[in-house]
Amino acid sequence: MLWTEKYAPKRLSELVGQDAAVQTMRKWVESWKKGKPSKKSLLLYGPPGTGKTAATRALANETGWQLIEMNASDKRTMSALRKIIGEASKTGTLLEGVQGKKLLVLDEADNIHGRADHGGYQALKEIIGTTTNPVILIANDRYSIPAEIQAQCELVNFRRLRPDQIVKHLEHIAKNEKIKVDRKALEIIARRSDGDMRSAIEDFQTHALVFPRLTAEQVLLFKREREKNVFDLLRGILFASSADVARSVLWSVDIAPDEAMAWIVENVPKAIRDPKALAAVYNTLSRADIFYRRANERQIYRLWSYMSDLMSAGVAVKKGSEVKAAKFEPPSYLKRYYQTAKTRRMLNSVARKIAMACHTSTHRVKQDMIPLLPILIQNKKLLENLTANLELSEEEINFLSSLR
Amino acid sequence: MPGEELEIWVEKYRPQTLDEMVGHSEIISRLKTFVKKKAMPHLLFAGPAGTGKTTAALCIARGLFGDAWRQNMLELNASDERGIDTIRTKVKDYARTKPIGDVPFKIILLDESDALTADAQHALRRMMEMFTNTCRFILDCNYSSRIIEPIQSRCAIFRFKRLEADDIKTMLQRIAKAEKFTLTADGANAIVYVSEGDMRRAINILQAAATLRKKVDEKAVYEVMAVAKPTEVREMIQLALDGKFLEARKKLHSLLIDQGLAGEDLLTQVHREIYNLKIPEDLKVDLVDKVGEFSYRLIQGANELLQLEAMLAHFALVGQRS
Ligand SMILES: Nc1ncnc2c1ncn2[C@@H]1O[C@H](COP(=O)(O)OP(=O)(O)OP(=O)(O)O)[C@@H](O)[C@H]1O
Ligand SMILES: Nc1ncnc2c1ncn2[C@@H]1O[C@H](COP(=O)(O)OP(=O)(O)OP(=O)(O)O)[C@@H](O)[C@H]1O
Ligand SMILES: [Mg+2]
Ligand SMILES: [Mg+2]
Repeated sequence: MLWTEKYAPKRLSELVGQDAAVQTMRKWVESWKKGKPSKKSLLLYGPPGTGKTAATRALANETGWQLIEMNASDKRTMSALRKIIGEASKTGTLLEGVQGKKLLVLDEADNIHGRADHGGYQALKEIIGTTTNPVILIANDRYSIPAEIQAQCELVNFRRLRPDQIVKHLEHIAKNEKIKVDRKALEIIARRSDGDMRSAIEDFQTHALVFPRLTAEQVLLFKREREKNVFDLLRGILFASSADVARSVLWSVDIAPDEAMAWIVENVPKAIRDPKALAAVYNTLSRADIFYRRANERQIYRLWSYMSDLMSAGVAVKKGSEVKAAKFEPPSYLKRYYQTAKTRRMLNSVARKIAMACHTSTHRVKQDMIPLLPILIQNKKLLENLTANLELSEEEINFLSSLR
Repeated sequence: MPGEELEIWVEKYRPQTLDEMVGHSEIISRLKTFVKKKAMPHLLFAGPAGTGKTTAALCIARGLFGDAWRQNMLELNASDERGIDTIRTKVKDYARTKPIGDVPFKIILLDESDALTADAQHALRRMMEMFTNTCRFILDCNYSSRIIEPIQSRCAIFRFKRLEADDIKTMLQRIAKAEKFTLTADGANAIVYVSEGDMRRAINILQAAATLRKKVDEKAVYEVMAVAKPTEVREMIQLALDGKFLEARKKLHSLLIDQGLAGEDLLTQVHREIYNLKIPEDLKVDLVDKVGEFSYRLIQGANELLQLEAMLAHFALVGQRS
């Protein structure tokens, strides 16, 4: 089970580090209970993973109000909004009175935009004006909500959490899950999360899956962002102290195996100086590649695990002791491969035409004839002859001429 | 018809009749009886590149069908046609129609048939049986062992050898005479040496040399060979042997990308170069072993780039030892 769900606050009091917000929300609930809401609607705003959605659920839980949630995945045109929120907000439940209220939550409200959600804000304005039920809007960026709507709402700011607040919460989880962990490791996770409790918890769970006992060193091998992932993967493999650590680095990053392979092949050789180690590393990588092909060809995907181990643990173990720091770069071959795609296409189409005229294969022509073409077409007449006889396109002619 | 007036000499001087072909005298005489009697079994031509397999097939078609040969022959290249399905539909569509003119059967020439997978070959086998009334197959391949047994058993097998030096020289002098330039004896020898019994290579090199020089001698030939870029492959190997792995790798990328060289072809060139290297003989043999292994992997569909880089890393290791 995901820890973000398992440890989601059940009550507002369990929400970490959002005291001011909780206080405002409580007051607002009281005012509804008294039948005289200060504002009919709240606008919760703040960075991701700070507890906005969690708070509305805790609130519904505490008050017993029936929760009606809509989020960005629903279609929010004027009519859809009217239909769902509108109907609900006019009629109460069978249990009349405060107890029987419905809490209408429009999550990710800053994503009502564009043609698909045409008229959504207009409907929203009307609904807030006429509703007899409490409404909560949630957004990351308060200014993405039209000013008129903001004016109808009580604003509630959710703040990024402080590292010590996050560490405390993670320690609570660790204790519950009976996980041994260095406080240092949690601090690193907390700092990296940039005040985002959700990402901190997810990060922690990922690490804990891989390492039975989590240390700071292990945590340092990872980061959440994609680009950083790749670099940490490389660093992890090159500097890992054991096969096991290297394997887990690979598991923890979100990169397709062939993509990871391309990055490793591009960069690892730059860091390894000893020819013997280099040959050994390449040997391992080429074996990994073979497993990859076999897996894909015969669709035996469990072979991927052998590839993964070879490209991570295998490289880590064979890399030798002379590892130099190197500047990591994206796979250059692929980049150039795409940049030169047109030339290659021309080459292939010309070769194909020659092959057909010469009763042989493209591959034979490329091997035997293309290397000689720059010389052969120094004879202008031959070039003209080829152009006429092979029915070459203008692009192909240009390509041929450029070979001279 | 495209290719008819082509100034590419391998095409311009491709023999039109079996009599014009050089070498393979026993094979040629048997093929001639097929033409004379207007009857033949399915044929399997096996042998190295550029030795006259396709030429022989085309000569048979001309001999049997005269001017109508193009209409009565379907030529397919297994390495260029995408998959057995294309071949299957093309063959079926073609085999269903009647031969044109007064001929007993049509010919389906399947070039590089060893490029077909075993599955594809089994499909082919069935087709060979289905259309015996209307069609004869001629299969060309480099190695007959890559052709499944049932197909082999349905064919008369002809094994083409690398052409003899004298046969190649005969052909080269014939061309020189027709094109009115001088090919010196050492020039002819040099071409024979670099072409390794492959007439296509020999003629291509001759044409290139004659483009550069009025008189084709040894120097002209080596000039061509220098431009024809095996030197780049050599440079790549040398860089690796000198321990400059990253530079060697760059060269590799440029060969694959800028020159569009296929990995397997590159390995063929590497193989050729090994014997020119200044390293101990036993290491050469080890390298050949390695190159063969990588070549096999590429055929199996491994990642070209990675496997070739791995090969360079191995060269770097050997370079350090020698
Ligand atoms: N302040 C908090 N106290 C305790 N747990 C929290 C807090 N904030 C987030 N979490 C944890 O993170 C999970 C996700 O938080 P939540 O869905 O509330 O984020 P959000 O603020 O709505 O983010 P977004 O803007 O991305 O929707 C919660 O289920 C909970 O486990
Ligand atoms: N025995 C020969 N006599 C004369 N010319 C030949 C002979 N063999 C090959 N050639 C010349 O070499 C060229 C290539 O030969 P051909 O296409 O017959 O080769 P192949 O054996 O089919 O090779 P591949 O295996 O590459 O298909 C021909 O165009 C022809 O000019
Ligand atoms: Mg949310
Ligand atoms: Mg051929």
